[in-house]
This record gives sequence, C-alpha cells and structure tokens, in this order.
Amino acid sequence: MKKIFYIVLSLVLSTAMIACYKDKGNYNYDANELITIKGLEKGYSKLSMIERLQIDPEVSSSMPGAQLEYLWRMYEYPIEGVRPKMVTIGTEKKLDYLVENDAREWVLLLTVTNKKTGFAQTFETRLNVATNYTQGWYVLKSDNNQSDIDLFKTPENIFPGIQIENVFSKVNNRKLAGNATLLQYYNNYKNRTSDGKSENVNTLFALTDKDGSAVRLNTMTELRSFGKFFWDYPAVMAPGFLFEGGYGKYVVNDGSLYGIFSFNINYGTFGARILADNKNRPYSLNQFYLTNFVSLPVMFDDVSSSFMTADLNSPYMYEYGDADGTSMPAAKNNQRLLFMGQASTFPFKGYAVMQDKTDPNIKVVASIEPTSSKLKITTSPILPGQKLFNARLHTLINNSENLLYFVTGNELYSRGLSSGVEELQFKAPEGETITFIRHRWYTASLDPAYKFDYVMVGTTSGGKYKVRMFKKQAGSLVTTPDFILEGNGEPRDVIYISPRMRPSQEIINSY
Amino acid sequence: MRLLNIVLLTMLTGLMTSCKKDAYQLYNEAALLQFGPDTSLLYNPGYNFIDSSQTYTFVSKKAEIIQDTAWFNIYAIGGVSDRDRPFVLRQVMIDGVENAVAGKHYKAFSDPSIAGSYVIKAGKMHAFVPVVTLRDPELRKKQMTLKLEVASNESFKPGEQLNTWRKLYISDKVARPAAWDSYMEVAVVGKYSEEKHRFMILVTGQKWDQEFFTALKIDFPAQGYYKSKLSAELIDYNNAHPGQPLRDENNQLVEFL
Repeated sequence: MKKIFYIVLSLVLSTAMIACYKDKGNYNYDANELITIKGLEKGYSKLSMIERLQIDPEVSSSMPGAQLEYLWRMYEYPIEGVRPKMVTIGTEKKLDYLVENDAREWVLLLTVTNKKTGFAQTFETRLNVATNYTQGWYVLKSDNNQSDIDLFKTPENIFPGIQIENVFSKVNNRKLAGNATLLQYYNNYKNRTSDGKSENVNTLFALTDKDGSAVRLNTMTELRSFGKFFWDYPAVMAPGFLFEGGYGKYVVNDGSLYGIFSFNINYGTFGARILADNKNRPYSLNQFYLTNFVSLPVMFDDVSSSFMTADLNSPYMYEYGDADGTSMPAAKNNQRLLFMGQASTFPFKGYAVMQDKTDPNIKVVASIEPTSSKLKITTSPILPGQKLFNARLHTLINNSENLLYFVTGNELYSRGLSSGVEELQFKAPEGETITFIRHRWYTASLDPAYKFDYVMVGTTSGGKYKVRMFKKQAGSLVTTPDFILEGNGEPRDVIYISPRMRPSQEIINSY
Repeated sequence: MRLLNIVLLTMLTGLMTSCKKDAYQLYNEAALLQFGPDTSLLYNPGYNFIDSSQTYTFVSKKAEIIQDTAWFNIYAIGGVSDRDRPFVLRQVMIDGVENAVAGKHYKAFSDPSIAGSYVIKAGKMHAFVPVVTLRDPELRKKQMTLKLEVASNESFKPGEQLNTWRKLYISDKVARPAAWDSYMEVAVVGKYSEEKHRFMILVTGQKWDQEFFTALKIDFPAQGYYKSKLSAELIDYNNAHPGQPLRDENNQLVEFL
C-alpha cells in the first residue's frame, strides 16, 4: 500500500513539474521576412594581387524598418584532401577587397542579417582568381638538349593572345635539362606549409628525359625540382610518366615506380620505390599508361612484358590476370609496348600498339579492358603494308570516335579501330617535321568560351615550331586548324590550364 | 646584544671564505691543455660543455666495420709554439660503471698506430683527438664507459679542471623504444626483435629510437615510405643471402608488413 502511495506521489509530482511549461509555439501569421538582392553576379574573375573585387549590391528586406548588417566571406572550392577554411573579407554592404588569394575557384558568400528580427539570408556566388601565369596554353619545347615552357595567354576565349616565351626559365633562372616529354596539371598536388599543414597547390608538372619540375602555377616558381619529388634523392634522373590514378599519384624514374597514396595526409613527396613483386625482380615501366582517376591504372613492364598495376598502399605492384575471352595473356606476353592510350574514361578502356619480341614483323592493335584485377585484351593484326606498321607517334581519340591517330614519316593518319581503315589527315608542309601529336579536350562547364576538343599537331622547322589545333568532324580533321601556336624550339607537348578547371572531370591526362 | 652576535658571526664567516684561492689556472707557467667544443662554438659560453660526453654506437655500421673513430676537440692555452707539441691522455676508472678496456673496447692511446695523433701541431692551438673504438661482441649486451683525461708531460699541464676530461660511451646495443608500441607493430614495422631493430637502423640510417618513433607516429607519408623501404631492403638482403634469410636472436625469420 505504501509502495503504491509513493508511485502515485511521484507521478503527481512529475506531472506538476511540467504542467506549467510555457507554450512557445509560433502563432505569428505575418508573411515570412524576405531579403532580396540585386547586383550580385553569378561569378567574378580577378587577377590575384592586382585587381580589387568591388561589389555594391542593392539589398532590401520585406520587413519595414529592417536594420541590415552584412558579412562577406569566402572559402576555397572544395578539393580532395583539404578542409576549406572560411575567411571574412568584408562587413559593409559595399565590398572593396584586394584579391590576394591563390589562383583557383573560390565560393563567395554574402550573409545579410536583420538586426531587429535576427533573420539572416545568405547569397552565394563564385570568384575565379587568376594570376599572370594561371591560364592559357602551355607549350613544352626543347632546344639543344634543354627544355622550357612558352605560355600563350587566353584572356577572352580559347584562342591565344599574348605569348610569354620561356616563362619557366624567366622565373626560375634555369632551363630543364634534356628533351621534353610530358606536361601534366593537377590542382590537388600537396605541399607542406610553413606551419606544417598540407595545402593544395595548382601544379604544372613538366618532364624531360633527364629532368623535371613541379611548378607552382600562381607564381610559375618551381615548387620541387625532379630530384626533390622523392624521399631519396635519385642517383639517376630519367623521368617516365607522371599521372593521377584512382589511388593517388604515380611517377616513374629510371623505369621504377613511386607513388603518393592519396587516402593518407601527404605533403607531395613520392614514397619508396615500389617493387615488382615480393622477390624484387627487376622491372622497367614503359612511358605509356592508362588511368581514369577512379580505377587502378594499367602500366606495362618492358622487362617481363606484363601489364601491371599498383594501389600505392602496398610495397608491391601486381600483374594483371586474364579475363574471360582474352586473346593475349596480360602477363609475360613477350610483347614490346609501342604505344598505349585511353579511348574511354567510363567504361575504362584503352588501346595499345604492340610488337612481338621474338618476331618484330608481328604487330597488333590491342584493345585493353580492365575489370578489377584482370584485363581483357583483344588483338587485331597490323599488316606490314599498312601505315600504322611503321608509325612513330600515336594518340587515341578519347571519349569520342573510335579512332587512333598516328604519324608515319611526316604524315598524320587516322585508323578506325573497328574497321582498320586508314586515312591521311594531314601532311606536314615541306621542311616541317612532326614532333608530337596529342588529343586533348576540356569540357569547360563553367567557361563555355574555353571549351575545346583538338587534335594537336606539333612541327618544327629551322629551330621554330608550330602547333596546329585541329577540330574533328566525323572523326576527320577539318582542313584548317582553329589556330596555330608558334615559337622557338621543338614542341613536345601542349596543355591548356585554367583556374576554374577541374582536372579530374574536365580534361584527359592519358595519351 | 643578540643582534650584535649575529652581525659578528656573519662577518667572521665572510672573512673565513674571502681569501679562498681562485681555482682557475693561470697561463704564466707551462702551456695548458684542455678539451672544448667544436671550433665554431668556441666563443659561445653556452656550448663550453656540450662535448663533455659522447655516445658512439656501432649499431648503424655494417657488420664488416670492426673499428671506428670518435673525435673530441682539444685546445692549447697560452699561445702557439713553433714546434709540434705531443700531449698525453690517460683513462680514468669510474666506480660503479662498466669501464671500457683498452685493446678490447678502444685502442690504447699509447698504441703505436695512433700514438702519433696526439699532437698540437706547430703554429696551432687546436687538434682533433681520435679515440678508436673497437667492436667487441660484449658491446652488443653492454654499454662501456671510457673516461679520458689530460695528463702532464713536458709540453702541457692539464688546464681548467672542468675541461680536462671527456667521457665516451661505447655501445653496439639496441633497445626497444616504448614508442615501438602495438600501433607500430600492426601498422608499420611488425613485431620487435633486436636483429630487426638493428637491420632497420643499418639500412635506413635512422636511429629508430623513442624520438624517431614518436615523430613517425603522426607522419603518415613517412610511415608509408619506411614500410615499403624496409620490405624492399629485407627482400634485397634475403636475395643476397640465398638459403640464409635474416633471422632474429630467437632464430625466427625477420619479416615486415
């Protein structure tokens, strides 16, 4: 009885404690407050350390007598590996801010608060920060066993304007040693800041057969010379490829693979040499590769004639296995890889041109389809009478027509990868020698005026170069290039870079 | 009256100590000899005793290295001479420690192969003092201490008392740092053994001591690098020693992750 009494008493007391809770429900049936703004553009573009961002928007509130206060803030458009940091750049309605940020895309926020009601509304736009060096066509060229970079700025659209010749050596007081091979661009290459943190750096990688450089695009200054890419300064400097794959960044020096595993914090240093297997057998990776930013890449070991991959979290590489229906073993296939490039990003697919090591007269075009740890390879022969048999330069048409472009002698041909039909596309004018070809495109979703899809043909003559930018029409080059980049030296690669570019989505970085 | 007594006592105490002779040596007799820091630090009083003791370990040296040299700096006080001036060092035994044994853990200073090294050259006031360490197997288990001091001879007398001696700790011994903990075992270097520890030090040139492991624990790129580096070095070692892969002190195969 006593127990029941206590239970009842506690229930009564509990109810009493909450019985007088004040109802704070919102019974205001006035229209919601609304702050409107005019004069805020969808986006702005400014040169860092030179231009001011000046915005004076018209702001009004639906609440009569509103007392508005303003907060301008910005943060770096999110890139893998770094948490964006918000910075305040103004507290007045009129923004007048000297842009001093890194060249890349920033998110600009204006928050307007009615002090009377506490109501706040945030408006968003984008700020594209550039510098003198962060946008344009970059030409990697060689001259007398030294290399340098020319920059053709593109102030209005994809067509070139002012040329800054030898921009790398002008800023860094040195040329790259050796003959140029490859340009790559990433906006997520890491660097250790003075306070020990990891920062993203817009980085242009320029490689030659004896040297290389990671260049901070904002200033064009060298972030790391090639030897300093690595934990251990290499005794021999012979760069091969450098690319980003699904697990991080991959670089080859003297045939050996080094990587940066992107799922850990890093500071841009490539790790220890990755072994071919747990016996550390000798290997030497070919300069050609397949990658699509998501999957394991496809590489080729010239020593064992094997397609290999690496996840960068293991000390070892792995040989690809054979998928059902393959017509050539992925490993130890006795082939020499003459070329490999990417035909399609999704599904991940590429093509290779291969030559039998035992009988050099046997050459094939091989389609390469990676599925997890296996490859499906489908070959078709290249007959000795066909132009492709003696090709010296190749590029795949990526993500569009099923075509391989190649150079035999001084003529550029296309070859239908299904039909095997070869067509002459371009013949270098008398006296000019073709030094490279490459298919590159940029979807430029934020800057339609900069969208392009070109087959680039570089030639040299008498110490001067021309790079013709050809559009395609139904797989064939149009007769006249859109424009020609011209300068001194022999061109070996050309890349287009813009601060608003998202390399993992909008450009191709395979051959 | 009591206050007077206190004042008197204080004055007497002061008088008793006021005539104590200065311990510093003067230069007006024979030249003096004493140890000091590196020449670059000589005029910085904060570094006067930086070199009082050194540790020499053979751990980071290949097995073929059976002797090596530790160096001290010594200075003649009282001006230069126009002739070479030999000097004499001797070992001082210390109670309660394992004293190094001449001919076993270090080469005696009188050994003909090095005796000529203990000289202040004409026109010089400074010399490097070599102490040749010997890799005795006992050093894998024990750290030995060598205390050496300046002895008088016809050229020099010992200088300032605090700088007439140096200590050298000689070792070939590894010890598991506390920071080689379960995380390091699972994520980076695997289980501990003395032979593995020794191998890691040898092939990387790093100390792999408490300080190194503590820094490594928060440096993921470095962890990845050393994980791969150590695996590769072990494979290379085992390839170079067919049928005799690296084993630890318990005869277990040394393995990395």
